[in-house]
Amino acid sequence: MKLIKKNRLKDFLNTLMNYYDVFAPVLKHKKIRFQKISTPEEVILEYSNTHNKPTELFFPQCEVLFEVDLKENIPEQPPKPDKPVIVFGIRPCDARSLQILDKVFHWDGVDDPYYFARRNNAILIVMGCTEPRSTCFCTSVGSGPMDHNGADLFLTELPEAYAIEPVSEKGKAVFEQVNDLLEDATEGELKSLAELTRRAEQMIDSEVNLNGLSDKLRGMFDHPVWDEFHLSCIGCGTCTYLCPTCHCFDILDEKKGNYVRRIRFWDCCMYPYFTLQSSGHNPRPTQKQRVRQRVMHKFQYFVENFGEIACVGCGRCILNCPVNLDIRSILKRLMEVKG
Amino acid sequence: MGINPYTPYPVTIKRVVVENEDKDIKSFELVFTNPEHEKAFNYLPGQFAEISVWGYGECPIGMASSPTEKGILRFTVKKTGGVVTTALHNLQPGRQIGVRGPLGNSYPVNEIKGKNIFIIGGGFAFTTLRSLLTYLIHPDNRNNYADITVIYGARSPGELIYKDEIALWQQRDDLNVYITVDKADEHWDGLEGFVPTIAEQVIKSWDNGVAFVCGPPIMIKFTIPVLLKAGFPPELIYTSLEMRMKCGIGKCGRCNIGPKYVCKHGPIFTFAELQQLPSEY
Amino acid sequence: MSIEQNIREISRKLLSDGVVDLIIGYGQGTLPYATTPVFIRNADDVEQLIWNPCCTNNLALYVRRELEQANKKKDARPLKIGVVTKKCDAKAMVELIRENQLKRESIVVIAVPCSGMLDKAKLHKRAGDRELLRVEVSGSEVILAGRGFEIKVNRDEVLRDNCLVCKDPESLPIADEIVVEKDDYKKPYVEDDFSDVKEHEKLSPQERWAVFRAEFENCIRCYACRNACPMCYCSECFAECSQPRWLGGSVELKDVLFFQIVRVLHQAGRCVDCGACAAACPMDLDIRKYTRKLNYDALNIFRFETGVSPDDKPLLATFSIDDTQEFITEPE
Repeated sequence: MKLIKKNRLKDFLNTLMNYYDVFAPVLKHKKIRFQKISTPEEVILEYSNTHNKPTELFFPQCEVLFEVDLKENIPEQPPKPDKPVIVFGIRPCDARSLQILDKVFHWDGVDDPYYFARRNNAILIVMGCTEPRSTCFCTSVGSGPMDHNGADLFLTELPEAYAIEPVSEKGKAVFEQVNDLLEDATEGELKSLAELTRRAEQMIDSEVNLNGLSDKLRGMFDHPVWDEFHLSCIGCGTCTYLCPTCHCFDILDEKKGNYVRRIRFWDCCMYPYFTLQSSGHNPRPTQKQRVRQRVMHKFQYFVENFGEIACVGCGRCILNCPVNLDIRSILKRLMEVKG
Repeated sequence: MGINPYTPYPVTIKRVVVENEDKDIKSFELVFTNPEHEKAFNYLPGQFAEISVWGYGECPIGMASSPTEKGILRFTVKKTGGVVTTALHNLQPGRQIGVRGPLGNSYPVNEIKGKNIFIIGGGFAFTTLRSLLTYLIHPDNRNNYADITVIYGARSPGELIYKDEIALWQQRDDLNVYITVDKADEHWDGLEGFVPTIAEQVIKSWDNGVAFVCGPPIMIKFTIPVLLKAGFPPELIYTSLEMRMKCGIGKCGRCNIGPKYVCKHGPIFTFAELQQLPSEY
Repeated sequence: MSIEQNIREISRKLLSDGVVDLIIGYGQGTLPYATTPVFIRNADDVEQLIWNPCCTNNLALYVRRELEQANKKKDARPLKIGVVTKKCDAKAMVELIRENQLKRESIVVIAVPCSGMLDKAKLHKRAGDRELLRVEVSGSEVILAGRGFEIKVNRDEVLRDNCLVCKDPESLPIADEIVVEKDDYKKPYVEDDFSDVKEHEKLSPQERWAVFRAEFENCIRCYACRNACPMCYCSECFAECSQPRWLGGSVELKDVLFFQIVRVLHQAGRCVDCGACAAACPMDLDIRKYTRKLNYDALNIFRFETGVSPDDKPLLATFSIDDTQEFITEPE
């Protein structure tokens, strides 16, 4: 096991910045979110998780699909990034959410070129979660605070160093690039790593039993239980815009003189306009239907199409919902009622 | 589809035909700017494409032409009040637009070989059925299918689309064509009555048939019981669904009905499949 | 008896006597600084109702929505709603009545003496952005606790800014059932001199733009501010209108600017300064800053304050020959 001492982390990041564009948690206007750093000092190391989802680095809230000069009428695509990217400090739940997004953006072999241009260009240095929040329920959705799945390189914070483990081939290459800065772990440090790992898993005290939920939900579309949840919902986009697995979007043209750009931007199933057709017909006209759609999409439809739940238990929707409509309460209630 | 599934092929509007008296349904005949694109745009009846009007956006429209009609791509578009259809209706021949596709599944033209075909349409929704019919009666294909029956109706004689072609179909002796209107006028000497009513008179038994039903929801609602009563299995009744499809490739998450994405698993569904889905369409 | 028990007692009686069909109030949240709106139809369920200084949501929003939905149903008996009401909810309902969005006779106001609501962002800041696992209020003290820390803060210092400038929170402009119990804490009252607005007005357009930009370039356009606002009830919001399309889909400044400024302008003479928008914002943006400017103008130019009496007409529906016209002339 190799380590990077905390006092050498600056050198570590500087080395990475020589080869890569490095994105890391920084404080931006009261909130911690991932941004490209220009110095290691910007990086926030004490954070439970970032406020905004890091999946926005791969699937940004708004992006240009292409531009058209109306005189030419040939769609032009925006330039692609050439420097490889490192995402430093992403948490295991968020790394896992990228694996979930991969499935959608690769469904039946139709690749989303914008997403994969960034995804294939990036290396994830995942930071294990030694201080999970009370709203974290990653262990309930098949993951955990030390889940290495989806990581290229895995870091765990010890008292004086970070344990560093290469997970993928890409991670091994980075490992080589920073090899000079690494040291071997002592017996004590190995013990500390094992202890911290065990402790982190114990610290997840928010448990939701989801065994069999997906199968159960299949027959529950018309269940009266759906009459309860939406009452307090104000239909805003907070839960979806902060959710790392939410991926619905809209496409729109913007015109300026002879120049048109086609953009795509996040949309939200909580909005009535999401499904409104130009004829005026709306297949989901009520908030009850929309709340049901969100829950069903994550815990039933996604499972049916991709074999897993589209929730990583990061708790962002719980922490930020303006009316404290807690997804865990909804799930518990769904598990409890007779299907 | 090209390497980037979001990029449309440039096409030029060659001809615009006003299809109805209300002048809110127009057919657009398009030609590809690049012949390579035409080759790549390999479609079957029932599929759709996203039509781009630069500066206004895209909207999903089913192909009204048949792949047997080389050199021309035809879409019949109703001005619904939406941004794109409104913009499209204002365009004249010669204008360049974009077409992205083909998208979605198609009518099962191979699986239905040897069967009796019933094409039942109402109003403007006859477009992809026109594609299907044109495909089936093409000299290369006609012998693959048994009897073909077409039942098509509109609100009034002026609202029937493809009038010239209807006349040609009616002259053929290998087609049973029933054209009806909800309400006749003084010049109309054809059938009068709703599509489900005419269907009930025409279709007495299943007889190894397969039915394709497209039209307003109310027409579909009353036609399906007629077919079931005649003995059609739900698996052999096909319809096409409309949804607010944006990406058309199963990513943007706007068109799902339960776990099914209309743009990907559809737009063609059998009645048996629809019975399994929640009623959110 | 506590305020909470008093609310439950009144609610139980209203429901069991058949006076109301529904009580809208606050229920237990899952976070130590949150409550969640609850909808009670059965007298046996009134124990779900709670009262504490985290009842931040403005319930007038739900009252309007529930009544609108009930009235859509044909031949339905008119719905009557009992509302757990603090002063800012009452002010919002007054404005909704004035704008013909609510009928006074459709609601039973359960007037609660409010002593100010806690500001989530201030609590987090005081806890050094560490996770809060316990927030306990005792008199003029608030205990903030998390893993490995427990601190006491002065309650006055963690109240929402709009609560500080709220005058006489015990006296509501409309009331039917009065909660007589009182909190043992009296919130401070700071007279609103709008000094922040005046300071902002002194800035040059470039400086104002910089202030706006620094704040709102972080907006994620989730519309929580709009949707949490009791006064934002348009059936089609300009933000979503597609013909004509007023604003694009991006989170670039041009779109965020347009959304936020038009949203704020639509509040002229209507905003009750309940702080629901600011409390709802997941990005902690200073949403009140610009509605306060309009409130100041309404007060300064027309001597108009919202939420005073349901019998008055809304500001923008009145014209007086004495009205100052400065606002339509060029700024000096």
